[in-house]
Amino acid sequence: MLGIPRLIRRHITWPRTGYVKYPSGGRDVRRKRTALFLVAGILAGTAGAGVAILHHVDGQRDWLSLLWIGNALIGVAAYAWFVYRFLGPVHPWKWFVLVFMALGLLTIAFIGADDILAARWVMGWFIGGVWMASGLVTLGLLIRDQKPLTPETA
Amino acid sequence: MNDQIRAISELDRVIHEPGRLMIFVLLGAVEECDFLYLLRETELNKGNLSSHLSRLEEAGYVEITKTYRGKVPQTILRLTPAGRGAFEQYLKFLKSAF
Repeated sequence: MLGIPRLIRRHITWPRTGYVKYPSGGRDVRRKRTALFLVAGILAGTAGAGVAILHHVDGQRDWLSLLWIGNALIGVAAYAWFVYRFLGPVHPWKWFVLVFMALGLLTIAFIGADDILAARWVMGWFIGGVWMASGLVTLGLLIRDQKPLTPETA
Repeated sequence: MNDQIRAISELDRVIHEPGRLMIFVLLGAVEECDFLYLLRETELNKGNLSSHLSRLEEAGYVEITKTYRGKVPQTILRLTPAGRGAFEQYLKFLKSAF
């Protein structure tokens, strides 16, 4: 029963459609990107969860702080989406920025867990600053690689 | 003359011919394929396709391997590293021209 599709492929499909072998590299790259995206997401999620748990244990019940932390996580998620969807193939170095963001957030969350009110500001500035720096580097590269129009010669 | 316009005159004429360009685009997207696949995709006739492939083989851009799949003869085609390089160069020139 399982051999029937193979039999059809061998005797009917192949002679009619031709043989083609696609490169395996493309699929591997996509798999790596997806894995990196998931890792970054997990790291950011871990940071958020860690802060939320510590915050809850601390008993401060300052939900506004969680909102700030949530904003920082949304910042990371939005950046991850941009890198995954648009920027990764053009600027592969942005994957490292994403991992840096997630790790930085995680570090701030654990270092600043005792004073969550101060930590939320640091998180916001950190994510905003990295976004800004990343954008500026992209702009710089764009300007550097831009070819000036050659003036017409007589 | 404007450098961007001049780039058009530097295009590789072996690749630039529409039939051969179709072959390059198809072979560039795959690792290898057979004659029949190209025949179906390009919709060229056998003689035309064969002559284009011979021209590309002469230029060292395409590797042609004659083999058998069972009892059926099969012609496997793939771009050589020189062919891929030339195609990349061609695309680069074309982009710089526009």
